[in-house]
Amino acid sequence: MDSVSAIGLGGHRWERIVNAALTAYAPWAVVGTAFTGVMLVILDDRRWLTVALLAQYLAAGWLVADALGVGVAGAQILGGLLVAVIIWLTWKNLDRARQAVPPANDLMARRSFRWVVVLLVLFAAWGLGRRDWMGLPGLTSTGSLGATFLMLLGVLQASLYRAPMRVVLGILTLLSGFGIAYAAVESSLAVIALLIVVHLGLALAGSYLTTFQTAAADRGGKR
Amino acid sequence: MSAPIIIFLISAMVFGLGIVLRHRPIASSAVTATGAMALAIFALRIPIDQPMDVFGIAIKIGSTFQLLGRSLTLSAGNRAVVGFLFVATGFVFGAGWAARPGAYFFPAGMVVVGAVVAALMISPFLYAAVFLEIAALAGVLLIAPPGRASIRGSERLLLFYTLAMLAILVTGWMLPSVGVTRATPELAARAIRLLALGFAVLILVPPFHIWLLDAFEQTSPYAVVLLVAVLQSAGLFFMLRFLDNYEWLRTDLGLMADMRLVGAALIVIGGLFALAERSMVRSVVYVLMGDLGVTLLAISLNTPAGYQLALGLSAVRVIGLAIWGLGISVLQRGEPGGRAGALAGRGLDAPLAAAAALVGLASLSGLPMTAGFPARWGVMMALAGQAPRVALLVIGSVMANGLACVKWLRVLLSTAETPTHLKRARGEDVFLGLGVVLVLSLGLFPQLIFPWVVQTLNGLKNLLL
Repeated sequence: MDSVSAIGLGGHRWERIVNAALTAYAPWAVVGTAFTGVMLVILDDRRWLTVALLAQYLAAGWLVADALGVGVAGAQILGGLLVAVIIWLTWKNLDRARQAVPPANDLMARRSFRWVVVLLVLFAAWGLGRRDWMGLPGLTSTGSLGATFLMLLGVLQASLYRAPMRVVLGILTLLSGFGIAYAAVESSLAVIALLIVVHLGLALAGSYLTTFQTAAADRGGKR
Repeated sequence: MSAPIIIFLISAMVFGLGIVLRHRPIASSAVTATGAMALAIFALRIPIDQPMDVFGIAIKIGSTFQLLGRSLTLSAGNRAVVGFLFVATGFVFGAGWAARPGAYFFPAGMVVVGAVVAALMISPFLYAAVFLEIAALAGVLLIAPPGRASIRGSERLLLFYTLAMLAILVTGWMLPSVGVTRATPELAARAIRLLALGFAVLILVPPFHIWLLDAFEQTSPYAVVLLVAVLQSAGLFFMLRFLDNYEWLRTDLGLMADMRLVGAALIVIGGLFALAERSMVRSVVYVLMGDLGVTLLAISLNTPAGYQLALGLSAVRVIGLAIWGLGISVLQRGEPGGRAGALAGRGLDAPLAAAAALVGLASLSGLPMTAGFPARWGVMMALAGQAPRVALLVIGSVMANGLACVKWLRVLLSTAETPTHLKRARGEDVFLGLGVVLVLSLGLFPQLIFPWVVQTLNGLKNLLL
């Protein structure tokens, strides 16, 4: 007996109904992962970035629910909500929430360039995700597609930007994608809890680095 | 009460004291070093799962603590390595005040070490990858202290360690669940590729060393020394545990040949770049890379002596790094980055700091008479029978790194265009001098440390067969 069923999750009637509905509409969650992943790369407005991140956690949670049930996915979404709150508060406290996050250099600043790169990655993810490239038994085709979209878009974001929070958003996206795939093979609550801790730790690290980078930039500006 | 809980509680207490005393470096250094040493004594000496009498009260300390269906265990298999980590931490903390690595160095260092120790105690050991990621997260506090943050280094550290965690978690699932053995070559090759990615990050195989270049240049080298020493030692031990647990992995001759090839490549790259670099801190990253290459060569021997030499190299690396870190922290005061121009002439101003930096570098390089030499000599002798050309490469690496030492000696003793006067703290020279004596003593009397290092391998019984 796996640890999820051991603690009684997935046993209620309403939960079975919700799970069936989530499975039936899982392709929409895949669209959600791709859309939010793209938005996280393209957008610069911090409010919309936070919204996109939260929506991404919902979409990823939907696909995780397909494998582990609503209870575990709910815990992951709750973790995602906390992550989004940490990130939003960081930006808000910097009093620049309406300002854009600066991209790495001039080329990255061009939205047209980012669209081209994102489309290339999307095509690659579409091609890769439809095949069983991860070789994980139990991973559905929708799960594979959603995980691939997020993992590739996450790596793209982490490598495109130099701002710490954008890099952390990329790593979080990568980790969310991995979470979908890993849920198909590992149902241990300990690992799931530890991965949620890692999400929160990454958000805190991003918050810490962003705060100090901004403080250093302010000091440089004053000089 | 169980041993892991006691370790956690003492670590938390040391962390708390480190926070409270953060603006009093000497007190903070003394308290955290004492705490780390107490933890080391506890891990090494306390009777586990046996009743004992303390002031007339019979108590029994259990070995295991259950957490969400997984267990943290301090056993005969890991207590020597846990003890080693705490001793290394105590050693680094003890001289930490002189290096001025930042107010949060001691508490943040304690969190990093605590997470790594948890990684060593968790069972099944595959979940250690998550704890190593948590250690890397805490490591951000070390390499990005207020005012001297290495932002780029931190970002890269987080990205690389996340990739490593993912690779190792998938491998960890594959090995027991899919039935990967020598009889399933395709699956085995896949598992090895993923493992190689994970361990390449953990033990700083290029290009995953670049976070270290950024960190050394931009922040306190001493703080980076603690992080790299702890993470790399844990990564190495984690790798040995994999080899110990999976017979097909350690008997895969192809894997051992590949490991030897990677080790040789690291020695060549490390040797060349160490000579070419114009910054001492970057030069040390490449010397470290060469040292890691020798460690991989020792593992590729696939003999008990080879594994012992690999752990021995790891132990003396911590000492060499710490002494170098202390020396360079004093030398580059007010001028971080370790550039040759900035360091010129500083050896005349602070001779003991220069001696510590050079002796530490010499030890990492494996030069004779230093702590790093005996294990390197052992690897070379063992390789001479199996692969004489690779053994020659080890000599070549010692010579190339020796030339790098000479280069930095000349820089430190050259005449500076604008003479500087380094601000020095009272008592600093005592630690610098003791560090130099320690490195030289271990070079002359390796028996002081090696028997203990051999003990750390006792937990990995299959590797001793």
